[in-house]
Amino acid sequence: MPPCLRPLLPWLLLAAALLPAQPLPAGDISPARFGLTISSNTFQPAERSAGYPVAPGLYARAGLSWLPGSRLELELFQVPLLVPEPFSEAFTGFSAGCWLFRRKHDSYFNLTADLSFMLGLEGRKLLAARLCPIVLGGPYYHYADHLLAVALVWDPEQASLFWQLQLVGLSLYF
Amino acid sequence: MRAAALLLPLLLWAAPPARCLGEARPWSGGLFVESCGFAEAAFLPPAACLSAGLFLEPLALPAGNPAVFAGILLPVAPCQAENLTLRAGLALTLFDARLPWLLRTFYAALRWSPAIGAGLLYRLDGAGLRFTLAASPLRLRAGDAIFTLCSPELLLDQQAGTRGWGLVLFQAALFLF
Repeated sequence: MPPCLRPLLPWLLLAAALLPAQPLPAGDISPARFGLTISSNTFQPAERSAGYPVAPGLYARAGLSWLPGSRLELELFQVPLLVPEPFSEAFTGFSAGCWLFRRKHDSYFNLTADLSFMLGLEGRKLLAARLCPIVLGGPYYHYADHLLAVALVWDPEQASLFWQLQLVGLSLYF
Repeated sequence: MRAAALLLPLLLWAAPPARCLGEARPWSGGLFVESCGFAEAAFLPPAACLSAGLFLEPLALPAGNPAVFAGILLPVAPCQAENLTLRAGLALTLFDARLPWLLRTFYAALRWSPAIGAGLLYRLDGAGLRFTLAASPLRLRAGDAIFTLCSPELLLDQQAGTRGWGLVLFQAALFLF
């Protein structure tokens, strides 16, 4: 800057500071830290000859998640039976997972993987490893569609393996 | 780089933001997929069901906009192919209300489009017929799609007696034509 203009610098900075705030474009926002998720859930035996692994019906999964960084996601969730007898079976659980790609302002596609522990109403304990191969959302994933997630579930007491399938999930992150 | 090349077609397929339906309404129909279940063992055994079919929304009325739909419904968890069921009916969008405050979250113009509906379920093996009355309060219209969450249904028999209930947990209706 030429020396003759230097006295103007503080006034220019003051004028810039007093300008009214400009509305941010839709994508220019900060990363989300907390999330709400709801998804459809079904269970399938790993072997055709095996019996159905849980009480049959329509299950959902609803969860509250915390995203302390750009990849890690910790979630408290419940998987209740909705139909035919609401909440006659439900699994409450905790999961820890990661996003394969860092959540950032120009994100759109991602994948997630997590490990979870679930506890049934009658004390049934389950361990699950889940992969969601299609996660679609906008900048920083303030909204995300989780599609076609598959989990392999292990029941250590009955020594049985079965599948947990999530056709579609909707997440809102704040 | 190779992973980016593999992902590029998917990103190109998914990235274009859709215009809000209602401003230009270029669509009149498409397909729907839904996840649902019913609490009436006499008609369908307890299971999570998957339903898919076609719908037609020929008019563009700002309120009371009708649509017809028809498809099939299959219990998938546990899978019971013998219980294949026809699903058809009428849905009436009550109104379309803009939700501009959701634009920064969803990056698309959304409209709240609650609907009510009536339809039938017919077991293709001839084992039963039920009429349904449905309400869809959580229904969002986003560009070329309509997303519905948690729609309860009432099941009636042929004498209009209540026989049970059902729930559509998720429905995605995508306009194709």
